[in-house]
Amino acid sequence: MNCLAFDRLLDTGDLAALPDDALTHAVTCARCARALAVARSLEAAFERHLAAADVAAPAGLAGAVMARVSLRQRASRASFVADLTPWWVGVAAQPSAVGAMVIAALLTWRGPWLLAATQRAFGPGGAAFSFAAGPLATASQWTRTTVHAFVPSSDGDWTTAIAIALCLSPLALVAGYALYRAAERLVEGPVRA
Amino acid sequence: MAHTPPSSPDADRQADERRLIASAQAGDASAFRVLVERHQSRAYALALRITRSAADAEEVAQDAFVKVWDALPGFRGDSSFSTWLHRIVARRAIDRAETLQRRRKREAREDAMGEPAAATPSGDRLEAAHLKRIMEQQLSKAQYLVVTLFYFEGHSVEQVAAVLEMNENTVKTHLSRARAVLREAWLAVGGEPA
Repeated sequence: MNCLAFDRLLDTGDLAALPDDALTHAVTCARCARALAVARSLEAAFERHLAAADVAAPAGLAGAVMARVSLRQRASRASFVADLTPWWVGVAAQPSAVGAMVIAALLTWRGPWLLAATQRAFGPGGAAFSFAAGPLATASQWTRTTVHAFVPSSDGDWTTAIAIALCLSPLALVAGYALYRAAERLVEGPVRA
Repeated sequence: MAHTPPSSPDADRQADERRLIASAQAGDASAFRVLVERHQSRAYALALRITRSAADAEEVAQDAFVKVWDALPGFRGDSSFSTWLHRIVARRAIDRAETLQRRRKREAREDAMGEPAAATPSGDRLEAAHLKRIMEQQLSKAQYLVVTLFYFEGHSVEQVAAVLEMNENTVKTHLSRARAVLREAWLAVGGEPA
């Protein structure tokens, strides 16, 4: 064993398991004895100050991770559902679409009456709403004609029924699709995201 | 009658971990929580040793676990779960540490203008301060990481290579050069045995 080989052992080897010839060399060589002592001192310092420091994770780390995971799960489910949902279900679920259908239902049900009430409420300015009278009368006539074409024997007033149908149509579309998906899952089993 | 050999606690633990990983891969968040609770201290400690900032280490550990959750379906078990996790933590911590280092240098320059010098530590604290300073100043980034994982995380050369995605010989070379540099620097700051 020479000093060069000894240095290489210190650089690459395990200080606790130095071979006998290395230890013998360290006894006879003051330079290598000093190098070994420094190496041991360094490793001991590592153990005292760093390796021994048992670091605990901060309280709440796991909870914070799981909260973020939960958010991702929800986002992933939402995008998965959004990917599968047909466009018309998305449209039917829009608040603006629901509002439009409610207004259409009200106009179908009591269009002329609502118009008259609006005109009364606005007083002299109410005349401005007269432009709606023509289209409303036309729509009412068209509804009656269409209903009569499909149900020739009907002579009654169908406006209430049509208004209710219009009002409930967004709900029917969304609920119908949800029911279809539920039935599909019953037959095919759960779908994994 | 079939005879089942007695299993060691370590083997039981590994089997349990494999079950937890499989459940988490199937989307079971409660199984993943158990994995997080088991590994959080070591992941945090590794992030802390690399970033040297508690707040950043916590953020790095959180990010790493979320990344693990995202990537879990693709985890095939080629390396152990902890090696895989440590690789993710180490990568994120290295990125964060570089940002922090730039910030610290800037702050140090600002502090140097007019701030009074900090009190000199003594005894054990001085030794610890020397060690940290030597590691930060004398070792290259790769050497610092290898030393951190080998000495402080207790990883074998093979594990260090897996975590850092390095060749084992490269790890040995870094370790060997780091030891030589550290010994020299340790001697220079008076870290000799009594």
